[in-house]
Amino acid sequence: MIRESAKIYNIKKVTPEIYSIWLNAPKIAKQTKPGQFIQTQVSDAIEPFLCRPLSIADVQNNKLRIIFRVRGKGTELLKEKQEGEFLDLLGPLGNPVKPVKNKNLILCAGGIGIAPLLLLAKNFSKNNKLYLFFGARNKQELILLNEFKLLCENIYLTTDDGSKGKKGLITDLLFSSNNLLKKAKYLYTAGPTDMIKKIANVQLPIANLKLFGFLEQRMGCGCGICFTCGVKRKDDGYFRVCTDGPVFDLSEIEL
Amino acid sequence: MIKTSDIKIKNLTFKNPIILASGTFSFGEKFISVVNKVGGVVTKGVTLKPRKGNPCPRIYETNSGILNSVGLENPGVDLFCKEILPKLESLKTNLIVNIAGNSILEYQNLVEILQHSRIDALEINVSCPNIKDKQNSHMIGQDPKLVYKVVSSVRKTTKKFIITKLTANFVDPLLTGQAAVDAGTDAICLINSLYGMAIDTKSGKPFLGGITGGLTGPAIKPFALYCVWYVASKLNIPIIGCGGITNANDIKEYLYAGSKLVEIGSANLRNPYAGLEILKELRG
Repeated sequence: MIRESAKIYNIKKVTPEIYSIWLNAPKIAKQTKPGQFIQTQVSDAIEPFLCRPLSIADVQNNKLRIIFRVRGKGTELLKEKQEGEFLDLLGPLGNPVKPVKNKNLILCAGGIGIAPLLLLAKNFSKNNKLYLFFGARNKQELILLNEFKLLCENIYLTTDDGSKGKKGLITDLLFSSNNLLKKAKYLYTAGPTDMIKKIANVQLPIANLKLFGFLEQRMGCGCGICFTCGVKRKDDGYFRVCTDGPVFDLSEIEL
Repeated sequence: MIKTSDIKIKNLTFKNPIILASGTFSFGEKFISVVNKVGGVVTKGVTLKPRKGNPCPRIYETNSGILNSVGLENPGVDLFCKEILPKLESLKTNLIVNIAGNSILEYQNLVEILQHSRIDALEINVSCPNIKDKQNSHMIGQDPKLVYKVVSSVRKTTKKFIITKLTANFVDPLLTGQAAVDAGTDAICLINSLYGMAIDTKSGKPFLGGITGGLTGPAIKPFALYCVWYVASKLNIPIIGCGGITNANDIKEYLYAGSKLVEIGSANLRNPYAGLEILKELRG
């Protein structure tokens, strides 16, 4: 885990609400693996006080990429940053997703949850067959499709308004894909908690399919010292999303 | 003149006035390079039995501060001694264990178990706002008589350095501070987090899983500083100032207000290296 001042290499508005930033952070980039995140200090002033935990969407050479939806005062400030400015980062944080080989893998993304799945797909596509299910509000928000087309065997899309793909929820499309569910070994899902919860609780003839969710929780430190970002364990007590996750076996947690 | 190095209080020497506050630095076993450079580290609150902590969300960012409702999640004193304490053996700074009990007997039992020689001091937590239950709608730290009883029972049980961490929630800290001094505390720490809450206006319900929380960070600094100044002018006891420190100037304010040492808390959540960076700034 490294604290590094990262120069903004490139900032791009992907949709009116979604931004992509490439950061020059050689030390963190070198260590980053799929599933990990960074704490991003969005202001040198003490307001906003806390860092923003953001998943790492991609790594190339000395650079890492974050993709985020503007949702509050932290991301509002972040989208106003200019190329050449510096951001203080702490990372890479959390546990990498365990590598797998020679398997059929399902990725299921809701909205901005697509971001961390990109790095996973880039790392896992060489040795596995990937199938992406991706649901978003509209056609515009079905981002990163060009990248995923190169990495996946097939892509299944839904939008809330029907502007691209099937109209409706991505979980409905996923749950009706019986053949794929049967042949896949692992499913990785990222996006709204309600979507992950639905996947965690669904009853399908998919006993062999192991489910992993990329979780989000209100977070303080991001590095295991404040104990604020809990997620309920099925057995007893809480896991910490930052140091026990952020990717969890969905059979071990209660959402 | 304020002193910023080799601060001696009774049998303890603090190489600088910075202590990492309870609740904000795990049990002191992480970021050892930071821990070893500062004057001391206070563990998360340790209780007699394990505590799972409060439901989530446990944190909410306010203007210039944080509301937290962790609820003293910890493995309990036995596991602390067995699994965590061995990792702290080689720390090169003062190790202060924060203890939280529900009764005088619980505090006494905790202290009896925590006689290990590596522990330099005990911080008696009578002021956590997140562990109210049906029997205890008030904190021990809100009643000077109870503070006296708890501190004197700890005093009778150990020769270790004792810090009493006080609250300013609905109580005059001069009265509870006096009680702690009368009972034989070696220092007092002012202040623990302030009562606070946030409401989700979409649902109309409290945002925190624990409903209410403790407010910390720069938002409370002027009030905490006032508490230190107010108590320091009337009680002859070493004071550890705590509340909203994010830079060296904040520390100087606390020292001029009458505290000998300070605790840095919320700043560690923003940056786990804050203690080091602030120390560097203090050294100029």
